[in-house]
Amino acid sequence: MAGGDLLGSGDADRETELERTRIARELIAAVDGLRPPDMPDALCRACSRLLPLATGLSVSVAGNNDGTGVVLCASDDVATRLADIQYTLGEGPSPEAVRLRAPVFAPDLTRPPDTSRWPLFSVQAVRSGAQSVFSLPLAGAGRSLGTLDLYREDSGSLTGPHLRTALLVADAVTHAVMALDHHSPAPEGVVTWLAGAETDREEVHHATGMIMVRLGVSAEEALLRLRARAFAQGRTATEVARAIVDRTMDLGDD
Amino acid sequence: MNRERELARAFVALSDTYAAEFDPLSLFHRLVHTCRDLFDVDAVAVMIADARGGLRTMAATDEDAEFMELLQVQTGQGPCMDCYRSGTPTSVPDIGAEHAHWPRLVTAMTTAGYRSLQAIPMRLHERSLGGLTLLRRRAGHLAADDVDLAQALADSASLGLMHWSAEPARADDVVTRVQSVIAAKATLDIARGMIAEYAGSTVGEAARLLDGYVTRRHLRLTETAHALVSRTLEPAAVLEPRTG
Repeated sequence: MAGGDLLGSGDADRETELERTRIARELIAAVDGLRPPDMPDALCRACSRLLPLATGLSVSVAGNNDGTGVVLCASDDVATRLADIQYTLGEGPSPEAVRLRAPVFAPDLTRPPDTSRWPLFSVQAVRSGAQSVFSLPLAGAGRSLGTLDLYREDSGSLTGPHLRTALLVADAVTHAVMALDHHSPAPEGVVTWLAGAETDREEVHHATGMIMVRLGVSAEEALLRLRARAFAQGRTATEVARAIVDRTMDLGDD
Repeated sequence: MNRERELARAFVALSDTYAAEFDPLSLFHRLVHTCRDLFDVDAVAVMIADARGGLRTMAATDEDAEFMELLQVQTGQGPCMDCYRSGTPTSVPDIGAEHAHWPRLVTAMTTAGYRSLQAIPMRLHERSLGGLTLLRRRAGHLAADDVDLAQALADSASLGLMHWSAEPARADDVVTRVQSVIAAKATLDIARGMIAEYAGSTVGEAARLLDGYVTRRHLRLTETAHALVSRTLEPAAVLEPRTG
């Protein structure tokens, strides 16, 4: 049955974790020892190595619900221009990915339905040298923090293992962006958060909500605190989340 | 109301995606509760495949910890994953006979008090999206007619998921729809945690409190969860006395 190329025969969660670990290692190696201002470009180069299918890519951080955003880093001028066009026009896969908190793909910008869905962006994107673009949300706790945007010179879909890797790279970039954005409590900074990256589990979401109410913090801050505690205790975020949900761990003594 | 009329109503409800209050999480909620009410089963859950890999629970008739654990052990492998991968229904008539196959599932199902399971694929044309799991406290196969009916309900819900926007969904958009619902479920889980902490309750009780609140006030579950997480709705409002 054609359910996509993801359908393997082994344990899907385990395969995902192996790929997640490979990506985290690559990104940690890329930023380890760098000063924070140098990190975005180093992250961008590492993402390009992990996603060879893309001609180029950029990472943008979204503003507060107003459709604006800033380009954090880009692998080339075309990638920068594609991001700028979308923020200027307020049209394109990237603003939609932020709004829907889901990947939005334009596999062929030279023909419908992409041309009818994004009439202005599609023309300018093709003129800039991109025939397909793929926007992946940086999924923060309860909202999109921005997007990882890939483009290709030619048309085509992003499917199967390539799609999975792209989503997992977006997850890792999300954690790095959160750490760059907040004042990370640990001196290891970005490296700490990348190491703590793991699959989103129901318990982690439940615990995030509990920390929000107990400490009066935002969802992102709550998730950062949960991860910080997991890192400090040498446990996984899921283990700490379970202890919080079971109320065997106190929330208030950070 | 007799069963035929209940079924007819269920199909209409699952395909009524142009309704103003349409909400994909509510679609799944309706699917699992309809199946539990109409079939000889004790609990129902629906899981959808994440493009990252693994299955994510979108709705369940029971939100308690033991039941959630039963679903959690199946996210990477198990009968629901087999059903999703093959796109065909999978029956486990007696979990006691599956020790060699799925040892963790045997423990989780036994602890939660279930003996048998029927998994139904969530399909969109030829594409598999996830699986519907029907659980029973006793051993045995679900009647073949009921398996067919459950498949028809699952197919209706899958179609509803893809057709709730004015724009028709092509293959490249299926991942957008599916991941969008997974993101909405994550927000719902954060909101449930907020209610649990505020009310001093379990997450399962918090889920019921939130469901009751949106039902009484005719609100969308997805929007209410988002309002809680973005702090435009206070948890206290959800715990209001039931007069509204």
